Amino acid sequence: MPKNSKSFHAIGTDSPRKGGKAKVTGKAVYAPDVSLPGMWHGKVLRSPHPNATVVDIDTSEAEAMGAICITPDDVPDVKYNERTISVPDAIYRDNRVLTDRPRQVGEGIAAVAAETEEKAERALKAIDVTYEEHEPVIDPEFAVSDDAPAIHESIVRDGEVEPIENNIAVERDISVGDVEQGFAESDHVFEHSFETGRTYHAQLENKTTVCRPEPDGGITVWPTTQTVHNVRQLLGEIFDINLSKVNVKRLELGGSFGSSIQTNSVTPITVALAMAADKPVKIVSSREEDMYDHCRYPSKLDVKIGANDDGTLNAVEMDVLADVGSHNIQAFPYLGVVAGFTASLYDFEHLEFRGRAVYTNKAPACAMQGFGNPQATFAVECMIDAIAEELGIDQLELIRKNYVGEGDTFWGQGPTIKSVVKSCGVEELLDQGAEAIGWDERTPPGEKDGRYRRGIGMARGFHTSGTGGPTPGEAIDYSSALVKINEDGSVDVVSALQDHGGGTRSAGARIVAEALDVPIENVELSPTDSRNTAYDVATHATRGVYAGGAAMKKAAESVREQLLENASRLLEVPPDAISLEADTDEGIGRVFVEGVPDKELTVGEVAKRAELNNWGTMAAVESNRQVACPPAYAAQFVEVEVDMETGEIDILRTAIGNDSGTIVNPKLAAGQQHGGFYRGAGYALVEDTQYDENGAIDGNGLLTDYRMLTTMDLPSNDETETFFVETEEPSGPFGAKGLGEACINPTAAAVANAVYNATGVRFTDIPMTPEKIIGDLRAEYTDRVTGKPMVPAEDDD
Amino acid sequence: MEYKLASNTTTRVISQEFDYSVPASLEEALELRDEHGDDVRPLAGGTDLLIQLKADVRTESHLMYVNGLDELDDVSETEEGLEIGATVTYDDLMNSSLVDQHVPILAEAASDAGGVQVEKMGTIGGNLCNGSPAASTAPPLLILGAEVVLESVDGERIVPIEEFFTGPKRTVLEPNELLTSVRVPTPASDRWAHEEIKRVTEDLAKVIVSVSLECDDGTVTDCGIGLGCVAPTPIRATEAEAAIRGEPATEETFARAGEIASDEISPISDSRSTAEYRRLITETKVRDLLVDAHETNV
Ligand SMILES: Cc1cc2nc3c(=O)[nH]c(=O)nc-3n(C[C@H](O)[C@H](O)[C@H](O)COP(=O)(O)OP(=O)(O)OC[C@H]3O[C@@H](n4cnc5c(N)ncnc54)[C@H](O)[C@@H]3O)c2cc1C
Repeated sequence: MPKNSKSFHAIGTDSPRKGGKAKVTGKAVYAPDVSLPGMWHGKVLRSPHPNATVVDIDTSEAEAMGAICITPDDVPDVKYNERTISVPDAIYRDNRVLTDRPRQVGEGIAAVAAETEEKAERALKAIDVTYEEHEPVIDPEFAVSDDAPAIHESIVRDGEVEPIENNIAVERDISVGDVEQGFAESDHVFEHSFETGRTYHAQLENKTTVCRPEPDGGITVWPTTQTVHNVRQLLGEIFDINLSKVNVKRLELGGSFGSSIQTNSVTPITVALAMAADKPVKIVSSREEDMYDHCRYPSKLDVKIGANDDGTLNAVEMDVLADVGSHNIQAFPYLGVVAGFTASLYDFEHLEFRGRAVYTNKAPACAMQGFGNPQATFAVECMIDAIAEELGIDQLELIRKNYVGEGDTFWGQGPTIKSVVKSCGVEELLDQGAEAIGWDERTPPGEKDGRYRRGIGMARGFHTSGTGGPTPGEAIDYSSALVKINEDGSVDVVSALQDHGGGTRSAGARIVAEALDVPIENVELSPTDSRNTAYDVATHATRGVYAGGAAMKKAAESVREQLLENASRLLEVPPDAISLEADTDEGIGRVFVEGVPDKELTVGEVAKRAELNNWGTMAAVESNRQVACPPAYAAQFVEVEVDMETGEIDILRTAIGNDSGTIVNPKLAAGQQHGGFYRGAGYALVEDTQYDENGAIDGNGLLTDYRMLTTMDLPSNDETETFFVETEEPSGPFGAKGLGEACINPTAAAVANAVYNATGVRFTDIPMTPEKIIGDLRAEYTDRVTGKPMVPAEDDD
Repeated sequence: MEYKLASNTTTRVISQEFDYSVPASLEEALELRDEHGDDVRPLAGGTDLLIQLKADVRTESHLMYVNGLDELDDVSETEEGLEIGATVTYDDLMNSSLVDQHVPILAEAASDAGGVQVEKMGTIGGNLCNGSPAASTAPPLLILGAEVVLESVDGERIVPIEEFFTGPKRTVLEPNELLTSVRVPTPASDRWAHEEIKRVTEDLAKVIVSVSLECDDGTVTDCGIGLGCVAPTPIRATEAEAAIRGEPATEETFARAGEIASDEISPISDSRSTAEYRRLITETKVRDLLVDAHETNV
């Protein structure tokens, strides 16, 4: 395995992150911090019904209070999809700024703006809406039945109106080889069904937008977003404004977990309200509104795998039913990647995938940390553990025999995006993780007894670094950056690349410093917006460093040539004879001719002399599409303790390993490992939004009842071993691949496999709450006092 | 009003208009209470009340801040035990040497209630007057045989905590009264245990179990089993207590207590757990905690 031998001065060092000081001193500006002179406050009237038609809206009382009100009649009659980063054919349009046909509790019907939040709140209460209620469709299995009412009659795709039948938003079937033949040739066929939860993103920042109408008919917008350019494009389309007059400001982002890849629903509402009020208007979603805004795609997965006695995996068949909620944000790509992630985990010769995504009257599902990968990996990696046990082969050996690795074809991002794997650290991940957790001392479930049972489990996975590929594919994927050298030798990086808090932009600065051979302290990231930057698709899909960083590197390399060019004129030697070196002690970039002591300048001197000579600024803008989306591999090992009487699962220890190529920000990278594991463990154990029959989130939709794990529930840092296997990815900037989402994908399966190893019971429905698992656990357990099996009592109410 | 509307939220401004009084003394507070009755709502830490106002599940036209009243914020020693003022916070309970000395189970219960913010703001009086079946301090106070002091301009009345709760969010507090203190006798035995079973560490409980135990020569001479979140009010499992008094202090006896306790409760299913699970866990945890209490070195 190629190890990274290059020595860097900026990459992989632990200098403080860019913008860190502003954050810890509270000076960083997030969308909720934005406040403009003369700004009014907006509130959204949201449907209390999951499925209804608005018969009448009376805003007269609210208007008499001095509020500006907008209703569905006051917004452009444009059908759109808030996520715009696919080709037109893959974008299903079924949404509107405000609707008179609410399809979920919490859908926006009307909005008000007033001078203060209190006034806006009171005006909102004064609006009188008459609804005609329809039967809600909550269960996805019911949704596809002939008895279910239609949630959407039709949608628009690539300019054409398409009917919707049986509430099926999308069907996607993908086939490779001949799966029946694959099963026929297998010694064994294994089958399991899995179910995954409707996780809420629970990002720190509640979705917010501020909009100021401009005198020229344009708008300036400060939104919560992962992509300023797509917000700009969508707003331009909905409100029919030239993009040159739509300015979307990039702000700090308080986390997202994928919830702001699309333009948030409050953003067009704020724009419509600001235009109606002819004033700056701000809307900050409350936490509870946010909980009705988005969630992860909950899915049922029926999986069949054919294997031989020697452990060769031949064929996989997967049936997926995904519940998309009230709007189809990206079910088509979702189904594609579930198939792609499955196909790219193991080298199956035959694959048959059938996916259906159905509408229900619930919050719309969208991408969330791992996008389809946590679901697919949970199902496949639990099956790998089960198959290994049945075949009597060690799980790690079964993985080694079948994983998709170096030289194999990989299509993680779906069938239209294929590439060949060029860097792979799977073997080392397995070896080091096994060593850290004590894999060899693991005993089978049959040897455990007593009330508290410990078990060790593991799972492997990966995430793609972005969605790029050698051919265009169905998702848009490129980034742009401007790099320029200032007259004192410091460097500005001007890019729309967004940072969720993980340090993506800071990593970009390191890449530019490395490419120009100047100290990291001399590189800064400019404040940017959609008007002063070229397009960047979004920080999503684990592409920030790999793809966003690559565009910055390309621009920096172009500037480096200009620097060598100018230096060559000043030092009077050919550009090839000039060396660049970062002097981190002096804080300067050196420009010199090796072995000729008097031929030496600093980058600042070159820049100043270029200015004085009127040679122009050393600057370059580049757009870049990555020609691959290489797998960033991961392996996680955990030890759990299960209380057989209460069903409580305690994670005692974990070893978290990743192959992300070159590690750019070591401390922040370890933070991603901890963070991914923590959300993954929550996915496995507690996080879920359940809906009652009236279409409301259980527990009244308050955050009090959306429980997440905290550090108090997880192993301490001493019991959490994180490690990296640093391969070198030839297509990545300085060998880097992605990281973020790879850290959550294997977690649920690792935990479930550990629970199996502890108890002998395989749980396939997550989250594995004590309430769900206690019956099966107690069936395996004999009361220590009475000697009786502890079978749960029938409930009497 | 109900929570169902998505914009009924706890993370926004309170849009209701209300009057706000800050009485300078208990006397003044009681006079306000006498004059306005239920139209003036006492505000202590606000960790229950303000949330209800933000979510519009309750409308109030007049709030009266009681946290500044000197008469209510003290923990003092009495002949029988302790007198704990109504505005004593969880944080105070956790840090009071008197509480630690007389009724350490109350400090333990206080440390289970909410996170740091709630510990600093939430009061024992607010906890009891809010009348939730999930009140953290109620099960220990029940088994300690505590009493609450309810005062009005007409004088005070002493009510055993067992009679204080009448239903979910309902208590015997009259519109002209304030809860001024809680009287807690020092228990005869140091054998006790307390546990809140939660979805995650930082959470409201699914079930709260508090137990106390007195043993003589291997026999249970007295015991208390206080339970939260398993009935319309916090309760004592009196049948289970009665069934094991005079029985040998063995795991079998404690297991029987668990079984009986799980039969005498009436749990419901809600967002935190199911009725079925609450029964199972009550059975297990009553036994576990009695075993723990018995094994305590005294
Ligand atoms: C995040 C969070 C976590 C929580 N976790 C827990 C938990 O684990 N366990 C738990 O039990 N509770 C919990 N709570 C609820 C709450 O914090 C407690 O019930 C707290 O003790 C309430 O006290 P307070 O002083 O804030 O009451 P307030 O909200 O000020 O008042 C509550 C009620 O009591 C009335 N009242 C207050 N004082 C008096 C008085 N002296 N006389 C008459 N009436 C009075 C008020 O009018 C109001 O109706 C939690 C709350 C939050 C927000």
